[in-house]
Amino acid sequence: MKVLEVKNLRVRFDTPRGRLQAIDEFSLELEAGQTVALVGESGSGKSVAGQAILGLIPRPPGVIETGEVIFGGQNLLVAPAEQLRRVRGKQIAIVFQDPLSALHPLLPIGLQMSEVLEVHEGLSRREARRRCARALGEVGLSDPEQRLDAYPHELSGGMRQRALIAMALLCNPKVLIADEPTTALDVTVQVQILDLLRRLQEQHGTAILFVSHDLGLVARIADRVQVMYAGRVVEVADAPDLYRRPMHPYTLGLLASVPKLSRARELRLLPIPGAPPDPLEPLSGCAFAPRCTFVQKRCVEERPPLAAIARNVSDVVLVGGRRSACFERERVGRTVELPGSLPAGRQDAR
Amino acid sequence: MKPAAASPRWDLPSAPLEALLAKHGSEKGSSLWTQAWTRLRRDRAARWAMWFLSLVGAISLLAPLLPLPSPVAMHVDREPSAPQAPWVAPGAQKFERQYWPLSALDRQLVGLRQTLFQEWQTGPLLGSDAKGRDLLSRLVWGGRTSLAVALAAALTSLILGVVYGGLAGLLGGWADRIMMRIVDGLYALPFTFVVIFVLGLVGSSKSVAGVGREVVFLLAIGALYWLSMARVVRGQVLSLKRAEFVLVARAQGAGPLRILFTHMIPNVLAVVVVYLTLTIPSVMLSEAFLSFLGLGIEPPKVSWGLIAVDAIEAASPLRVYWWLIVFPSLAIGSVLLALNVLGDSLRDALDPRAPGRAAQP
Repeated sequence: MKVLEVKNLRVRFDTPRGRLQAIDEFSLELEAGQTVALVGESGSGKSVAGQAILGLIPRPPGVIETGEVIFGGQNLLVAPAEQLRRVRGKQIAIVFQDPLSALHPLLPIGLQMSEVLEVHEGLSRREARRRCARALGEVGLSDPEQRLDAYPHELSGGMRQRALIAMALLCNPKVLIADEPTTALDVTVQVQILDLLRRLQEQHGTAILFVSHDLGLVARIADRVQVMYAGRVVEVADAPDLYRRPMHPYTLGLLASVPKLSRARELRLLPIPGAPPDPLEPLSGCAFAPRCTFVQKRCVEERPPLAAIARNVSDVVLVGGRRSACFERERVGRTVELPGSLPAGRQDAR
Repeated sequence: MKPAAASPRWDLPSAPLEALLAKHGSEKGSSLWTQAWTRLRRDRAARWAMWFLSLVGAISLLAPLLPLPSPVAMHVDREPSAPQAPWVAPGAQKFERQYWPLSALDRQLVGLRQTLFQEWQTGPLLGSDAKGRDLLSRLVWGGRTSLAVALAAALTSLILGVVYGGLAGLLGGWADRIMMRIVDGLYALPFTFVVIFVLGLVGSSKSVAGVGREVVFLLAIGALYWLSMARVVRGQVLSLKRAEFVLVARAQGAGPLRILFTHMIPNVLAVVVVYLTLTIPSVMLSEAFLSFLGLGIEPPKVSWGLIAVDAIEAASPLRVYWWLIVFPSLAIGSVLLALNVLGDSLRDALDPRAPGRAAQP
């Protein structure tokens, strides 16, 4: 069952230096209980996409040029403010990257958590407090009802992020947008948070949009992956397929640059040469062309569309609706096979 | 990777948790202000300052009720007399009911004092000034005026500054830029001279367009201080507007009013309260200064600035009347010190991150 659909979203920012095309032709489908990951490096537009869904882009300077965000049969982008407010937090919740700055420094977290209940369910302070304590217990904080009186600075980073996740899930939303929820945390805590998200997802059937730059983490949690580059989706695939057989040179480059302890001796890390294009001066062709090893003359001249890939391309057998924005996608898919390159975790996790 | 089973808390059935919650009776929830109040009470310097200020405030409020001599009854025949020990000659003189035109409430209080203490009054505990007026009485009545002026002017600056600065910060963009350029422009004026000019215009006339001279005086002093208040508030609002926790609140569906009241105002208020306690002392100094120049409170009314004028006038190369200098200075100085200490402690108390906060209850 499709819960959230984004069609052809286009967002730009009017900066003092000119127009910055943050995202273009962005589409997304999210089904109940599914986790879709948005992957890309900084500035690829993945966070903007997540925030645009809830209309949280600051306007100005942000401008949503085209697109639809369909949720519950209505387009959130044109919904009146009052209606949008009823969706926020209640139906679609968001968890931000930095758990310290996402919490009000002068308020105990219990008060901040209960806000969403007061807004949406009109609960009294007392009832809200009870629900919050239970939610904190559910995300694995000890002494939940005492933590309610703690200030953010009195909790560790992992505890803060757990509290924020508990806060986001208080109203049992249908969709959770996790905007790099683990980036500010250390590695062991990252894994705990991922497990927490997956467990809560199984319990509540929440759909998760997981925004991250870390392909290793994404492998642990995502069912489907959308790779973004320079504001556009360049590849969409079910997670296992993407890791086994990337069909866009950028995905390939990302995978090659993920460190793998098991093969550290044989394989050197392969960084992608060059830097992302300046978003203020968009290229007419493929944005990845200047850094691409598969580049053809055609790539520089016209932009490859995000096209579906035939099920069977010569010897390559494909499953699910795969799409890639590369003219040379079949060549990329044929030449590269990464048998052992699937990052640890997902295979044994599922 | 830690399997879920390793944390049994996750699988805690809800019933024991409910019981646990009920047992803790945990509905209290403590706000920023109750927390701050607890921390403030734990601060010894702040406690002293608060006690002292309450005492001064109470004495000032009840001045008409106290068995003091009239602050303006003169005995021109005498030299300034030095303080006398309290057991010397209390009630040696008869109380003369002599004041400037008092408000109705004060008149009643004075009447009450007369029925309570009748003719009895304290002796010259702090001595008397060149015109034979009792210094203690003048200090008490003068403090009454000075504190009232300080509070009123601080309130003016508070309202003007918070509204103006808050508006500029919230509106942002062009409105903000224009409003702040106006503030910059006003800052560039030598404001003391502007106040002197305005008061000079009002002159000695009792009222201008129905507004009393003293109200003009208060507003002028208040206007002197709202500029910095506006800047402080605007800066705070601007940084709050961009704060991520405000974005989180929006993402949770909080409306603009809710964000303003639960997320912005507490933050702004903490700064404002502190700034206010630090403004009041400087307002008091301005009042003393302007009264000293003859532009503020006018005799026969008393204020601490006017008492200082009397002391200067009485001083001569031949003889120093030390009590005329020392006691008014002590009065002004101690109140200013207490206000500054309180302001400082308030700033610490309103910051939950400050050290010294008790462990979790």
